Amino acid sequence: MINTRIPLILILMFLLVACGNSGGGSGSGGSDGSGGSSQVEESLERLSDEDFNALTEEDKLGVSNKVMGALFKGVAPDEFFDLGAGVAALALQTDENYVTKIESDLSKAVNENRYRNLIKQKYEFDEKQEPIQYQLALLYEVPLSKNYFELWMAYQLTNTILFSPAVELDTVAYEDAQRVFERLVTMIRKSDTMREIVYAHMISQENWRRFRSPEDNTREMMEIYLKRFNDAEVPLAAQACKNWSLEEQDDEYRLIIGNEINTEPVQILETTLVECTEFYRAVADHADLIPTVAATLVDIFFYGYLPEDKATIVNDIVEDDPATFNDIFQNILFSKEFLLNAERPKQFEEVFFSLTARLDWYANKGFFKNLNRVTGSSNFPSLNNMSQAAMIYKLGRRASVPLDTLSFAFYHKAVREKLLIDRKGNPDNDNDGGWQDSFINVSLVQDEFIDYLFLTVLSRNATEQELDELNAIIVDRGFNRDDRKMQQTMIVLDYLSRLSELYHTRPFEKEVQ
Amino acid sequence: MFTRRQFLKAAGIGGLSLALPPMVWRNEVQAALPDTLNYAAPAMMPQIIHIFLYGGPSELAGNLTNIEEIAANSQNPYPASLDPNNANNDITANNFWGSAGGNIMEQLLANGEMSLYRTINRIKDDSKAHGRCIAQNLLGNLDLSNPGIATTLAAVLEKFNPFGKAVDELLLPFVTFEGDSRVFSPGDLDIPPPLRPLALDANFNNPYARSNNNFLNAANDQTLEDLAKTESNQFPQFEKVNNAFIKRAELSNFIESSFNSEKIMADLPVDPGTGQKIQYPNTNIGNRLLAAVSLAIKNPESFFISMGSGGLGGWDDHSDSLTRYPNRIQLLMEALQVASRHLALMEANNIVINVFGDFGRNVNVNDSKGWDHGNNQNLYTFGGADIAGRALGKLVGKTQRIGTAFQNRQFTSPTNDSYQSEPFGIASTIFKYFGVQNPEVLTGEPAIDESNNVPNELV
Repeated sequence: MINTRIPLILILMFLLVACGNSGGGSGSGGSDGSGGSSQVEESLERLSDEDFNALTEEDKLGVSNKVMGALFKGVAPDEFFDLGAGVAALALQTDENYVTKIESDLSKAVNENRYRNLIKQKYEFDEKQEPIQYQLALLYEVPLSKNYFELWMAYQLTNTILFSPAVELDTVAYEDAQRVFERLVTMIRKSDTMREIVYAHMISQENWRRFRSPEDNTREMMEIYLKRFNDAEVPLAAQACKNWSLEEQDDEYRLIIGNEINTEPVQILETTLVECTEFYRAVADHADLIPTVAATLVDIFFYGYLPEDKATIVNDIVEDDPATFNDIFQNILFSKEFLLNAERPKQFEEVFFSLTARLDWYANKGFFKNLNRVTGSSNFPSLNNMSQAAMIYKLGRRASVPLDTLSFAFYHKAVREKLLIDRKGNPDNDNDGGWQDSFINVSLVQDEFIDYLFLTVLSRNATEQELDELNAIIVDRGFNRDDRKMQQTMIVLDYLSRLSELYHTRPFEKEVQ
Repeated sequence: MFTRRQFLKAAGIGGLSLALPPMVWRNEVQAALPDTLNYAAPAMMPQIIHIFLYGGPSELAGNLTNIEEIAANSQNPYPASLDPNNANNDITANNFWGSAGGNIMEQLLANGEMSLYRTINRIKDDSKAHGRCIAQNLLGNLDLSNPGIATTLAAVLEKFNPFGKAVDELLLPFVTFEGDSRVFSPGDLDIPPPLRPLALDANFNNPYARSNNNFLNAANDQTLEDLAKTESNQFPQFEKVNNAFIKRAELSNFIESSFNSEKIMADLPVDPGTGQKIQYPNTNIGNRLLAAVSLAIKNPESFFISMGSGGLGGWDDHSDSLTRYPNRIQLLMEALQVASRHLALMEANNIVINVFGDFGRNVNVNDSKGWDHGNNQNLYTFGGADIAGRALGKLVGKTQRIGTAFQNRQFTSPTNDSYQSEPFGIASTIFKYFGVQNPEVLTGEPAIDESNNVPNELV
């Protein structure tokens, strides 16, 4: 009906700005999902030391924060660079490839219980909704480590269609979200395979509270885990599961497995099966499971790529014969394609928590309670208001970050008002959150200080125009003194909150030798 | 009462335009529509409030014509109140489920405020999968690469411009109260910025307002804003975020001046029958309808307003449906009844409210006491009495039960002599209201036949 064509407006805008875009790249990513035009360049080849060293110093920080951001963590410029010589000639703290260091950190264990105990003391949650509010506090507190990566993978998975607990459903309890999350953590931690984890999830009561009848559950399992949309197979699968049902008992929905087990063999999923557990085993063992799981994750991390480019990436992942979720996530996160070329909108956590790490931000006592509160109407920029609620949606979060004007208004509001222009004024008050003065306690002044703030937030220096106009405001307000860094920071960070580049990952190009 | 002139003045805007030259996109959009599209501007511009019930609502609230046979063949029992032989049954004269919104449906039909089509039946691409059916129904097309209904409508309106003014002078022509939705999916179509959807909060929250930064004055703030816009323009690929930033201040002003709770409540009309202002139910759907209908009445240029039902889970009644579904659809109909009254009192006879979903449901009560997915669903359509060719007070479509007794897959299905339409006919009907003479070239389906050629089954 409607022809494919490159919008003329985009061509004109590109022509107008082609020379001025330092963040421009040649990846396949289409950012807002508009689709790219080139093929995958690097696929899943790992980023080598040589690749890393070929980047500019700024871009080394940018690439490091790209992977850290994806992990909801961040590295600050004063940790990354030796700022003693200023920002004009950036010098690395170490010659080590920082991306390799991150990967290495993800293999080191920490005492997770220590952080779980800390959370109990430090934060308050809703009595009912704590099971969906707790996880982000945990991710915020636990440092980058093997434990952290396991928690992060479980959190990511519970926000996809693969494992969303679907708390929005009447039949699902908040505690189901905790159970799904913790089961994933436990099984990932034991290095269980994806097939084992998927099987355990499918036969769980939590899964049946989400998909609640034999037809519903078996249909969705084939669609979600195999991308198999064949309505004729559904009654056959349902027959195998005919003795499974969800029933309300004592105000709680329970998975009931009755005695009237199916005895008639059914041909489905390229096999013959009789009982319900055989159906689930057939799904878990099916050849399409791993490609489907990989495709679901590739849709998220390479959002906006052309379908054929995503298919190439999925094929490359599958060719490596991944057995665990760890295999797939690591393959994606540390690939050249993701690190150098992917350009897409960031999830809220990628922006917010990556910045909290770089700005020495302090979470107030009720922050995580308010962040993932899903009931009632309010103007608080909660994940729910951003349409990015955690573990809520029946089909998980979409691969596309919701950027309609309303959802994004809440997103921007959170980044601006709960982080960038929220300074912790009272160090002794747990109800007072915000960035702490330690963040600006650096020996840089004037333009170099502004550049430091830009490096912290965007991993780039300010442009000449930005320096000119920001300095003009700072002078106009009478803050052009070295003892007015806090005021300068509030102005610069407010500006940075308004830049669309903050909410997207960007590609990086190798330095021209 | 707020007049149109006052409304625009208070909002401080004559249109939420981007500073982009219209000619840049015009040729693109025009070329993207089929050459065979025939168009004649309507005498009156309609407005559509599009309510999509995610999950797929059962048709039974509006269609118990086959209930005796359904109950007799169901694996699990229906309540005695749905037994037609029970003297105290809950079945209305036109075979609606009385306490599941059916009594209200009877009133709305009798008053000529609603029509009900019982045979919106999917035959093509027989899928009962949520994702595919939602997408296709909201695109108004089987082809998933197509744009959403609202996007296609925007393209048509841009091409033929029936407004008498430039589209960038329009005020909020496309609005969503559900955020992103496939109904606005761009497909391959680059819609002019003024016709892209803007999102409002049904609870009248205003996140577009920014808290003050005490270290900036208004002039400084504007400098930051302009600088940020200049820098962000270097990233046209971040179009959605750039667009959201560009619209932010205008939307904030609009909400503060015109679209806040206080003003909306003050403008609700008094019902002469009660002497009281009409009052929407304080429910999720009631609040959303209050916002959507108020916006449509206040702003005749809001041509397409999208509302979701608030989560896919809502109508996906696989379990425990006999206890949960009746109350839910009762709440929906209570809100729609007030909305209809609101439209009638304001004589807003160009505003149509359409209600439908992914698909209908199975009619066998499964062992989880629910209904699985089916192909046949209802379309509830309200208002719009002054739109040419549109008839209200109609009950259309006859059904039969199909499927094997005491097995799960039993459905309602149109009888051989019944009128029926694919769900994409709903999109065609919307396009027809706006002046498209041959909407089938856009959707592959004709518009729903609202003429008297189709029997009205209302008793």
